[in-house]
Amino acid sequence: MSIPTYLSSTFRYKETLAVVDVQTIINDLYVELVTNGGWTCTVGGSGQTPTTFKSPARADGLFLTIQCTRTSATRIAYVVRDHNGMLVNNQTDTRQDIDVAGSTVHYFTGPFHFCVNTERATPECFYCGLADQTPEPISIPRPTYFASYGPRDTSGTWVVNGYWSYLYIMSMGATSYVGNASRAILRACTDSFLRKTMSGALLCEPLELTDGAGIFMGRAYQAMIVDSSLAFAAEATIPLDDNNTGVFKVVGCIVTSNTKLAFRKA
Amino acid sequence: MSVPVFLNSSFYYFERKGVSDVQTIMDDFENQVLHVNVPAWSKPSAGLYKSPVDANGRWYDVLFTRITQQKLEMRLRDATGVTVCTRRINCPTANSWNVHIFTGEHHMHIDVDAVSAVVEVLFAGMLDPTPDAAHNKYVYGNGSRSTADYADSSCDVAHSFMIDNATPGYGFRTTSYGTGNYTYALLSMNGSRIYRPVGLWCRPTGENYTSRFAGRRYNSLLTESTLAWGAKVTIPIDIGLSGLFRVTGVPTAYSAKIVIRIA
Repeated sequence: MSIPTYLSSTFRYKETLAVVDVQTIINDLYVELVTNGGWTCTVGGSGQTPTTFKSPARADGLFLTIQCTRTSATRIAYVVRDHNGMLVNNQTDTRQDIDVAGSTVHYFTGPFHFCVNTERATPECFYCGLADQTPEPISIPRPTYFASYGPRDTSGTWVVNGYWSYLYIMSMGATSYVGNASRAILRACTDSFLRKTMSGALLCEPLELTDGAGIFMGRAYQAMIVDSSLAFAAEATIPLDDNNTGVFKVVGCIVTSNTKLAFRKA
Repeated sequence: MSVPVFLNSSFYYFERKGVSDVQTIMDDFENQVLHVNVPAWSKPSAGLYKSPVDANGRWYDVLFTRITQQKLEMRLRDATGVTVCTRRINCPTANSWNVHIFTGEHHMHIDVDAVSAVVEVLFAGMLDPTPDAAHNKYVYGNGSRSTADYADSSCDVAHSFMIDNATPGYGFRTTSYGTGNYTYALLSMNGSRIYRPVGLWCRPTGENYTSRFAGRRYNSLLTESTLAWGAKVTIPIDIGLSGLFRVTGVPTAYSAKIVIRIA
């Protein structure tokens, strides 16, 4: 057995303590994405707002862009676009807060995934990416981009439906990205359940995407769904194949069906 | 990569046309499990068939009773003697039937195609908990009808009987590959079928409310429901190795059907 494609992409993790101004997030992202991650900066730059990051092109030339804007010292806005320039998080933008007193921020990045997680009393998480559709030929019939529905809408209001499984995604036959619906394959039964085996071992599964109507749309890179008993920021060591493990850290989205979301940090 | 454990147990397939008495089904089942299967099952008493004991001491048994010429009852027990379920099929008198029997060391399934009516099914088996250790919640089963011969809609792809805590019962047990109780995602965007293990969940001993993952059905897979009953599909089970699976008559749930390996 070998490591699956969706766990074989490069990844980076960074943690910055006591962030009091979201410009620090933009600056950190510049270092993680541009300086070290192979992304490019097409607008702005470190110390500037807005700043737009462009992911490395996939083998078929596809990429996503993420525009980050400091709307206030404690609020950042994201705009995600696909290779056609279509708005993935299909509202004006998606926003995320830090505390006035300062918040620890976690960055999970790679060529195909992007996640910013802010530690607050109620943690906030924004994530997006381009899905792995292995073994389908890439871009046939088309790629899958996704972005989280939360944590905050363009007015800065906490998104009540900001469950980790609620994603903006373009379904088969659709012409725009739509959010406010679960688009993750939950791999559960309908009984109240723990994402654990009978022995109590954690049952960690890939974050797989669907249009909700029977079509599998791919897997998020370097993401796992884990049991909700894991605390925010807890880390789980998960086997990737027969010989390798990865460390995944729980992020701050709203729990869906006894399940939380974790991104890889090591 | 190697063949997953749940696809690596023995399997056998037998079919007979023109059946008009359930005694024939019982006789064919007996011949399959006692004389064709390797390892063979055993027959502790009349109508009672005990699956081979696995390396962890696990087994189950099924007791078949001919209620009438058209009605066959199956009682399923685990190794501790707890009855997991008792279910029946009731075949029409109008036609003869086509019978399909899937067996193996860890699974059994009977499809009766009554031609003019829906397929009647009886099935049972134990679960592959890999890589978890063996546990005591490993037997599952179901059938088309209750002991009152009522087609009570308890039998479909998602639902089966297992032991919850210490109580046998029926429930939604199959791993959902959709966004909850919605259509399972078993087609890719270019139309390729995606086959998934049939994982089952139940409540551990001492737990009244919360289920955990118990394991995967042997030699069974989920597939999308546009495949007709009886269709045969070749499915990769390892690099360079495929198996032939047949669509069973277990009623569709959430646009999913179950296939069982025949070759």
